[in-house]
Amino acid sequence: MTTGTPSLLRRAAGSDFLLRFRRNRNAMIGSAIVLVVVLVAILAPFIAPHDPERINMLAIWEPPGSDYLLGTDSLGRDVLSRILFGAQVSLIIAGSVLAVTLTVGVVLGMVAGYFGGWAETLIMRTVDVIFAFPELILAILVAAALGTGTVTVIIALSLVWWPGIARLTRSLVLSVREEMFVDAAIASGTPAWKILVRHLLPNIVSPIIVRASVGVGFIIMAEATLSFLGIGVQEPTPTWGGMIRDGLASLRTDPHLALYTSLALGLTIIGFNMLGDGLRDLLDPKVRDR
Amino acid sequence: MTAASAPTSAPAPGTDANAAAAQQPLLEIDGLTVEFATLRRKVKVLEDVHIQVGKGEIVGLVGESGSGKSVTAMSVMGLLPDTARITGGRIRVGEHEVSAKSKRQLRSLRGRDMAMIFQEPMTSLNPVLTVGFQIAEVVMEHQGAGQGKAMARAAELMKAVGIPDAARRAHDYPHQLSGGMRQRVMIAIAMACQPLLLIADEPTTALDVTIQAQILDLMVSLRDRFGMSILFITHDLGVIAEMADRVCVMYAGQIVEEAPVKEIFTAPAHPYTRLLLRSIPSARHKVDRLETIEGTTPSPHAFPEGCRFHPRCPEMAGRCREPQTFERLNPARQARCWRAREILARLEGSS
Amino acid sequence: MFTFVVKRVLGLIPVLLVAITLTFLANQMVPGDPIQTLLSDHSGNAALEARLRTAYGLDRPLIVQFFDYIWSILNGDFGLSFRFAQMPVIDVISSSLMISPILALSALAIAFPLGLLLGTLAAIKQNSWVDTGIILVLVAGISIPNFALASFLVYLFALQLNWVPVAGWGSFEQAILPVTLLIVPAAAYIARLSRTYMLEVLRTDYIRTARAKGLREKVIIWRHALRNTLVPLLTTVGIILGGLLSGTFVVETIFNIPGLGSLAIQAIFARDYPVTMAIVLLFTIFFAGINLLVDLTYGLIDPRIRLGGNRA
Repeated sequence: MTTGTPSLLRRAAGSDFLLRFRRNRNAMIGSAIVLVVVLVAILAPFIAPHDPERINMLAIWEPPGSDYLLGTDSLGRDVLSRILFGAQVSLIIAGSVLAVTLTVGVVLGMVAGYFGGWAETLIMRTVDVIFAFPELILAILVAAALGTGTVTVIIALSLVWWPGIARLTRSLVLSVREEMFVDAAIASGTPAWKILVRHLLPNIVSPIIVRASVGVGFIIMAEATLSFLGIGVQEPTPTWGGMIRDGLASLRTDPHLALYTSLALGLTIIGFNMLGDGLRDLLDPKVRDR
Repeated sequence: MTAASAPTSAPAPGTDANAAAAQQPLLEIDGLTVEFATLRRKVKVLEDVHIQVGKGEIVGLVGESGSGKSVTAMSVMGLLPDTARITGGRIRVGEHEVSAKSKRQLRSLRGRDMAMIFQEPMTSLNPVLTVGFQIAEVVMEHQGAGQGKAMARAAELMKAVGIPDAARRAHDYPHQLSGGMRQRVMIAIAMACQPLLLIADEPTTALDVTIQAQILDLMVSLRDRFGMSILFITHDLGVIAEMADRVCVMYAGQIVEEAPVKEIFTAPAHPYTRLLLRSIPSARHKVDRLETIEGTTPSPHAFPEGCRFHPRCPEMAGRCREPQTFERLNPARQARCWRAREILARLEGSS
Repeated sequence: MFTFVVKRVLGLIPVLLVAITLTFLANQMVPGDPIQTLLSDHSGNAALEARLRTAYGLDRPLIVQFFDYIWSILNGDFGLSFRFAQMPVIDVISSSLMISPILALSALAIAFPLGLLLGTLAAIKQNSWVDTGIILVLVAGISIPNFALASFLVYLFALQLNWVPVAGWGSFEQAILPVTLLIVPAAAYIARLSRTYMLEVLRTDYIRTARAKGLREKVIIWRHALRNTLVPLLTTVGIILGGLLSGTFVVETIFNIPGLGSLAIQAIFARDYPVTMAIVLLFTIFFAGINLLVDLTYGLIDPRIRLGGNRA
């Protein structure tokens, strides 16, 4: 606790990665949870006992039992099946947002950082403006403007998240651009796009991965929040946020919907966040040498 | 037991090193071994280190980066990280057995009986507190003085280390001072309670050459005034030549040679010392190329068998692969090399 | 310092303009004609429709509507609500105006010191059981969404144990659960950051100097480390407040608190755009204002910014 590790004891990280990964509690537990959730999402159609959207007015608000393991909701739909399919919905949306955000953010960030000039000004001013809004409120605003629904959610969340990636990418590019091997590549006549992809990209990928992994948990939470408020994914598609909203209204008499769904949502996000934390510990050079 | 016959004024610089060494030394590091716990296993970073500093003596600890000099200093001060452990030997400062003390006991010694200054004056001071306060803190902690009195003392100390307009500058923040000034503040902090021992870990390496000279002069004059002992750690042999009374040369976690400064420079016995000296540019004889030492310093994860320098040593021969012990060459010097006498004789024969 | 303030205030203007433009455009882009919604049963009545359009100024060109909107806002007039026919937006939201900021700020006031203390404790005892325990709690704190946490808390404390009332607004007891739900993620976020910053600070050279001076650990933490941790922490207050403001949307909806958040949600569903726009605008102004305040305070705390550098 008094001083750091002496310089003579530091060594290259590459060979140790798996060892350090196994030792990192966050990474281990997080990846376990994420693995379970991903498997559930993929296998939902095969393992769900009932059709998540099938209404059965004779079995509304059944408590957990042998037929419906976690009970049913206000329309007689099986809670367990809805939770399983809800995982699918959450991950698909999160994945889409991630794909869009990373593509747009990294490309714009690289353009801004490498070419500078009016492109950079334009892009970064846009980033500044978006940053001036509290995240969720902006998402709500966009969702309100475009109407409710899954696509809207993806667009809204992507709009809110790409500036963060862009800003990070740009500052990374700025620092790497000064390196000698870039000058060498320019001097030998390499076209700009090749420089960006072959030389710059591999060197900036690591912090971006960290940022993305830390962000997935929050994307899932944002989607759930939008659905909870009613402006996200719409019925009858099962979404954890919407299910909790339904469940809260009946918390006194039939708590199972809200409680079990909240458990699933909470654990999922915890898993992703732990994995993100673990990856950051492992990949971020600042944190590494302790 | 204190050094009974020690004069209250310090020995004049350049005193006969033998006499100083004959009294009980103020700092005694004896057989110190330090282990660090790393990812895979425990690693011995220091092994069997012997260093002695007499009262009022300036001893230089020389070695390349990674030789373990700083770890030695931290061990004395009790500032090793929790991953480190002293697994052998002892450290004594004055009448205190430092290696046997608890953390709390060590804490009360630090800043009071033993003090340390570091290499980076730019980052070694807290940016949100005034420099005067950071000096006053030491007095408040160890002498129980109130803030007013302590700040007054701080201004005095700043004056003593040569900071102009001290009373006013005591209220400045570190970023308002230059590197040389900050290092003077660090010295003032160290001197605040008139410690017996000052450990200086590369204090001038990060400073301009002209400032360097000023700081070194300051340290010597403080030694003369207060009779404190200094363990001066550096990789710069030029500084050693100016300041030190005696020199300990460190390589790969071990002391390889120990001698009065004059003898080290005129007749180095250990091959490593010899090569170190040869790699300094000299005004005396022209060379076409600077000499370098082949190879690199070994890492503690993989120290060579026997003599740790043998893979790079031009004098390497049979017994080098066995563990080396100290050869005493005269009452004031020794070297960890079985060929030391031979090398020395060769040198003396040719001069 | 003065130029700094002026520059920052001026920098707010484009942001506000964009906010206004965005909300105006959002209004225009939504499918469905608000006038038709208002007319509902009377949809055949052309004369009535024309009168309504004129009353709401919707028959003029878009650009004119836009500048007229900006002008009215500057005069504090947010127009008329669609939902509560002919009622000025101001009146609709005035009673709710204070509630959301009060919720958010009181949560911040408690979350900040709580988070700072927790994070510092974890950092001091790094890798011990205390640290591990705190870290786990913190991860849960930022991961579990407030409405999910609400299920558990309301079920346990309100319904089963009856310690607090289930919903509503007005008494102190009724505020406990909502504010707690706001505090948890904020405090957890602050604690994680505090822990990270504190760990960094504890590794600095100046802390090494402090130890070399023989200062007591308590003194080192309180006098040397904490202040340096506060400095970067303050820069995040804006983000935290943004999160808290967003949180009020959810919390007010759950507990039927008549604040701006729940009002905005209702307005969105009722397609009451003037109200929605007004609330979003107010939130943005509030958010930007607090950020500005934090920037100014930051300069006060960090002597490097306050005094500039002058070397001698």
